[in-house]
Amino acid sequence: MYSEIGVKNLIRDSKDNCNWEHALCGYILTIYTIPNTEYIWVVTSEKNVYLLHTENGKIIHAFENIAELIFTSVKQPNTQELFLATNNGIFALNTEGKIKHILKENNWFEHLAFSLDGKVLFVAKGKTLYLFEQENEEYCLVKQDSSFNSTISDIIFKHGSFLVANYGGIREYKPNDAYNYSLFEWKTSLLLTSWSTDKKYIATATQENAVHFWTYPFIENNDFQISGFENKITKMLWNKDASLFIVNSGEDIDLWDFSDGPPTGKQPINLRCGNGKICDIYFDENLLIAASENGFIYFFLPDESNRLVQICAIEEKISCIAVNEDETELLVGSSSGKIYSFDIAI
Amino acid sequence: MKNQKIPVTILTGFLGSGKTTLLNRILSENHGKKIAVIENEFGEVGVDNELVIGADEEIFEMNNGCICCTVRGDLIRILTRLTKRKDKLDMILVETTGMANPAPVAQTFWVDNDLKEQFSLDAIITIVDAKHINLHIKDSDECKEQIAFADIVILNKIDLVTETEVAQIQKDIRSMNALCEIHKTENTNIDLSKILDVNAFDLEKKIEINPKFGEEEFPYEAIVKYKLEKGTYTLFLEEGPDPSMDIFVTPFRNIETQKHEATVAFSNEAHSISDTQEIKINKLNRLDTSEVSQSFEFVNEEDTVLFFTQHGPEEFNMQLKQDKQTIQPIDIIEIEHSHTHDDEVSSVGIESKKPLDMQKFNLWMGMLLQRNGQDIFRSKGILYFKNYEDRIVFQGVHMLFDAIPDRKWTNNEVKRNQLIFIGRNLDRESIINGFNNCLA
Repeated sequence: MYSEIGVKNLIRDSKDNCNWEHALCGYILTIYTIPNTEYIWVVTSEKNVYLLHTENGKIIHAFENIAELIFTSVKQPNTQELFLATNNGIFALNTEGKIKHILKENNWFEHLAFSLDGKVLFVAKGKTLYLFEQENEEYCLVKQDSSFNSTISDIIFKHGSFLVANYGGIREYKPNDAYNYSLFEWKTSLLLTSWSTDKKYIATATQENAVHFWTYPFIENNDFQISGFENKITKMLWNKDASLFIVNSGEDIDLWDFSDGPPTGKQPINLRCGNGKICDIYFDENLLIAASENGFIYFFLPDESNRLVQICAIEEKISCIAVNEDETELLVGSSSGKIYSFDIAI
Repeated sequence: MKNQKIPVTILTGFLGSGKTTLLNRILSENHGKKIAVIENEFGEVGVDNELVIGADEEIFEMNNGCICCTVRGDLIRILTRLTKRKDKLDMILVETTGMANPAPVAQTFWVDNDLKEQFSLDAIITIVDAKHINLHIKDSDECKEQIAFADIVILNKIDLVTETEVAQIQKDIRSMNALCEIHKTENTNIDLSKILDVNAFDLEKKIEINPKFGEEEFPYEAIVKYKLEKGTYTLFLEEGPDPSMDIFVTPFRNIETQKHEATVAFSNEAHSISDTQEIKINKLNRLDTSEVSQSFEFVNEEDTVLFFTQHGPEEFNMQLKQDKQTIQPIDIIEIEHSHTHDDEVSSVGIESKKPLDMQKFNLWMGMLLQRNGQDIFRSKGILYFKNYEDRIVFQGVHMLFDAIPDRKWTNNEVKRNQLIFIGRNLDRESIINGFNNCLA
């Protein structure tokens, strides 16, 4: 815990290392770097999306008043277009500044995910799942599935399948067969979904501050749970060989050892951060960055026994972070709409 | 960078009670506040500065199907979403469907730590249609529960009933929920400052509003006092509204103390007494009144005796005679009895200036809520623990409860425990005894 003066000094020192900052309009929900370009997407939760120049934060395109509420976004894997799920349907934005209204409906569209080749798009609105297929660069609605008995809480695409979560379980769909699915059942409110990099485990954060796991392929009574977290898990990451499972837990980061299978009876490696709940984590084999809601950013080196090497801070509540492809730049978004760029020099 | 919690008001009430009228007023009135309304219909529209969100009530069981921990999944989802805004909302209003059980809505704020950090449950408001309440209250558990859960009851449409009926409904509501504020309205016309951002969970404030907090409700309707000689008497009873009447006879000492003793006696098993049999002193007697008239023997060894009668003595034309001479009572005390409609749902209030033993209290409360949590809709209180400088504020919904230090007791305030339980079929005696056993 820092003293008041300590925090002020840290913020002042961090400012000196800040490349640029820019005040945008809206709570910053997500920042995406765009590989092989000098641009970044900045998505706010209300109305606006921005395309910024990564070098100086200059606005290239401001997409304003798109929708009252923006829930989630995803990049089209081939074109880097940004697709938005909003309270007014689905939008696609491109780096040329054009907006396309893929689906227009005044309702809460909360989740969306692309197949790896970008040809199939799954979208969720309440208890309804929409499936779009790409034909001649247009996305056409091919199926609408209203068989869910509760609101869909997450969609991801990984290992050639879509995973769709809602209360009571996760459905696995193959992109070429939206009519059949496998069900991974657990009767509780399932929130965020993740699939281990080695494909062995499907994990879902639950309402009860726990993570529920199923082994893949599904084996009956083989599911297990890690519980007792301080808050609902909002970040779940795996390292390349799935030997580590990384989550935010209150003011800390927990690293669970999956190298010998489920970590039954094991304690996690606990990276203590402090100064507010951890709201976002970036992880690569060489670098782990965690941001706390209260404006602190922690840099750890995983290959040096998770040594804490740097802390910086901003005078804002952090909402998200992003790191560019070569891990030289950290972008920090805040709940009041400010975005900061820092050099990563470790 | 500390968070100011956003107050959340929950609006319940049966179809046609006036919820929509009130919502429209809140949305259209110039109160200068940015409010999000979560309605029970899907589809949202922006109304000027307000955000109206449609919700499909989704009641989720937690922990792989535990029915005692139901929460509103849609509410968690929407409220979480509303925290991701640049400009904070001033308040949130949640409208429930007419038949909704308020428990999952309220429990949502107990169960979800993330929501607890961002939002504070400001008040549960129940709108009661004065014209049709009697229909609902007889047939519907939900209606009783909505009243039992309420911090504020808006007794609406009072222009459609008589003043006597309004008074009776108020009495009925009060009998179920001893702590709620009751506002009488026509067309839900009420000063919004009385219902929004009122911090209705401030127990201290509520106790001031209802000075009868903690007062005992008596299981008998009258105390008949006789000055007698030693000897044998006959108690005559005619056929009354019930096939039996419970009666507790005891020598007079101090009527206030004896009221409580009689309450205890009434919670014990009654001895059935048939025609011509003898009434036992200091025991609960259940006199058989199934015949047109009956008489019971009473042997008196005292100077003055009290007859605590389950019903008013006039309902059975009760008369005490000796040698065919009717003995006139020296006093008849009628006990105000508010359980006219529904004594299934009621409140038990406890007040004590003696400190509690924390360990004993935690154990007792845990057991009480585990055993009777389904029937205890709400529990709340301010607690005074031995060796603790802070007041402890206690709040619970069914089996879930929170007890947190509030502030230090000040020098000029009386340290005391004040607790209330609102629920169905509450065993007053057992609750009070349990509490008393926790005193240090």
